[in-house]
Amino acid sequence: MKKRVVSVLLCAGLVIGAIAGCSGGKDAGTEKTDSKSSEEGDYSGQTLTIAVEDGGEYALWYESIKSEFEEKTGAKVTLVGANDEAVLAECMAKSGYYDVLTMDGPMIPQYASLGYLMPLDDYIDQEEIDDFFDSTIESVSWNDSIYCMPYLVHGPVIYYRTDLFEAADFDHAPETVDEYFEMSKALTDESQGVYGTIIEGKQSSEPVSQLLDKLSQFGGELISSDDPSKIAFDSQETIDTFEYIMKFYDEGAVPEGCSSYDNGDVQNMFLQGQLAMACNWPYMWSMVNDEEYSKVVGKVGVAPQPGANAVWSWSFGISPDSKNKELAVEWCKWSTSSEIIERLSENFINPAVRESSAKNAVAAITDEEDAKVLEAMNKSLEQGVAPTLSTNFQELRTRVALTLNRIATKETTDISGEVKTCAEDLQKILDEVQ
Amino acid sequence: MRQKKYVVLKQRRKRTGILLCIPAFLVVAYAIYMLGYALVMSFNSNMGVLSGEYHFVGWENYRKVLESEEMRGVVGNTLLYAAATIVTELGIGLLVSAALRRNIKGSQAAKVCIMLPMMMAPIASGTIWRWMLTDRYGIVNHLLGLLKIDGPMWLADKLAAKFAILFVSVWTAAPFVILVLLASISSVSDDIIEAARIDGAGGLQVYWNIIFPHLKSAIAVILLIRIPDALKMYDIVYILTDGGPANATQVISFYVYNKGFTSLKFGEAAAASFLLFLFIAAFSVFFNSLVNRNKKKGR
Repeated sequence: MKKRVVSVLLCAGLVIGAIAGCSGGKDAGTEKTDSKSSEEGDYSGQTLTIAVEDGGEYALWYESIKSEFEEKTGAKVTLVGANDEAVLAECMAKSGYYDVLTMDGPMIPQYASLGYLMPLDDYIDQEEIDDFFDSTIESVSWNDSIYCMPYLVHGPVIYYRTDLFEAADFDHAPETVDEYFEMSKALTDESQGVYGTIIEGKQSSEPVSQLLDKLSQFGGELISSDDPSKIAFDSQETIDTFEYIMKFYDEGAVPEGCSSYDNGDVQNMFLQGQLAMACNWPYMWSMVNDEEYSKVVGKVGVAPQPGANAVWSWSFGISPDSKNKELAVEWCKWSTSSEIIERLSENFINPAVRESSAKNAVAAITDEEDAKVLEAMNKSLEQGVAPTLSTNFQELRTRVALTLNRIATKETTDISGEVKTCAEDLQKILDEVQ
Repeated sequence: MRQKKYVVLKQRRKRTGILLCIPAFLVVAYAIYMLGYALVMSFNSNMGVLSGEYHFVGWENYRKVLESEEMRGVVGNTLLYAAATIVTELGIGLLVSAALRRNIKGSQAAKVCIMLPMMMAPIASGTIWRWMLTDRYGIVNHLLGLLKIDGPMWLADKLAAKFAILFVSVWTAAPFVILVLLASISSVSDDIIEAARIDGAGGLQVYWNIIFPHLKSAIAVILLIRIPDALKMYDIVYILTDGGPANATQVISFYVYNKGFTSLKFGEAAAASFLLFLFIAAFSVFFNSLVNRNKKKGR
């Protein structure tokens, strides 16, 4: 009898545990309440859940300052590290779990077209919008509507070793693509384990970003900016870009295994002192100066890429399934306000997305080195080219990654043939969403 | 009276057994629900899945998947990989379990060390190996260099990348194989082996005629578990090579992931995923019936 009772209790406990485990996992204190506020600006009792890049530097920074927003509104803010798959799953399920989504620029058209982002035109004053640089607002718009509020727009810059440049009698960073190649070749010293640069060739999305920089330097495009329904990849500019890239590989200006490298490898090698130059994101400046990990502290300069580079954005958007839309709008406004953007720009030495913030941030930076770096990053924005996007840009990028890798690994040496085949595939992919 | 008590006890035990199985039924029911959901999704249009609506497209998704050239290449890669990894794991497992059978000094410590890779999350071990296999600053090529061997571009060369994936996968999964074989090999009586040696049997004869037959059921269990695992492998490919170079290490699970989460074609991804499930299910049923048939013959 006793055994039977114990068995029944055990089974009941297991069943309850299984059911509890299957139920929607919300932490205590994150229950959503009605989005109506009792007074203007008073959102007491409400919780705003924001999907952010897990462990991302900007997410950590917003985590450190969110208490200011909480004090202002009375609401509680929870920043949840979520990868793309988790966010996509919640959007597809229309769960409204995330009120605010952190959006990578290329994803905005896709999410907007699928109804996973709420248009913000009716919520943001024109005066506010006018303070943002045009390219930043373009990067968060789709079909003439603004879907996100940008907090970061950036393009990769050149990090270069000032000591190696001095030793080689180079008095400036490369200003043309030919200079970039010649300097890379000249600065390569295999006996010392130093290479001029890395041109990423891994079959992955990140190296495609670098490819698009180079493509913009040669005047090429992936999707035509004049006619976004057409692929512009099959062009002499694209062939010139790949031939330029392969010069680095063929003439030893990059390490032999470059075709398997991505962003992480570039950062590692540069911080270890194995590269004379590296094209990378603005956030690498703080890594370069981190004495715990960097062997090149105090020996690095920053310059814009020669001629042009692609620009990309990060922004906050609102889920149309959010039960706290008003509060979410307040967050988007606050987190991209002039003051916050100014502080973000100063903290990360990143270009500011707003004109008012840009002037103040430049004035506030007192360190001469940081000021020079910010100047270089601002120039990279000025010469930046925002790639024309599509609602299936990810798929296009994946296909381009295959071609980049096939050429970089010399799986094919017929560059024009490979570019043509790639362009045909890209057009088929793009046609699927026309 | 005694008969009645026996019947009551038997019924009570049966009820208790059923009660204790309820959580398992829930898990199985959940798994069947997921499978059913994936099946239904595989007949939905890609846009339908994304918008939360249902547009029945019949066999369209399956047709696209089966006609896809990329899928054909991926299936070839996956089968080759699965075969190579299973053969290698079994080979290592048989050798190591035979060596550890005798409790010589240090065998306990060796057993603990062998189990360590099994305790690591595949993503973590994949990340560590990614850095170790990098040609410029990876320790593997550095050690090979000390032996005057020019290490390959592990992650840049097609063949080397396949070996890298195979090696890391075997490193992660071999401990499980060793464990199972070790447990089975430990049940072989030393008396029989001693008797065989007295009769003049050599080491190889003892192993083949006495020890190995004992391992057959353990090997069957290993194959039943590891082959589906190998066919579903994803994490190591994702971390080490992202399916490259030039799709050389693309496997089915990676293809399904890309189709779904990169291309947002969840209908096709569900179709590819369900085809994989059918293949694994068919294999499991066939293999089980083979094992049962052999058992009956043995009796």
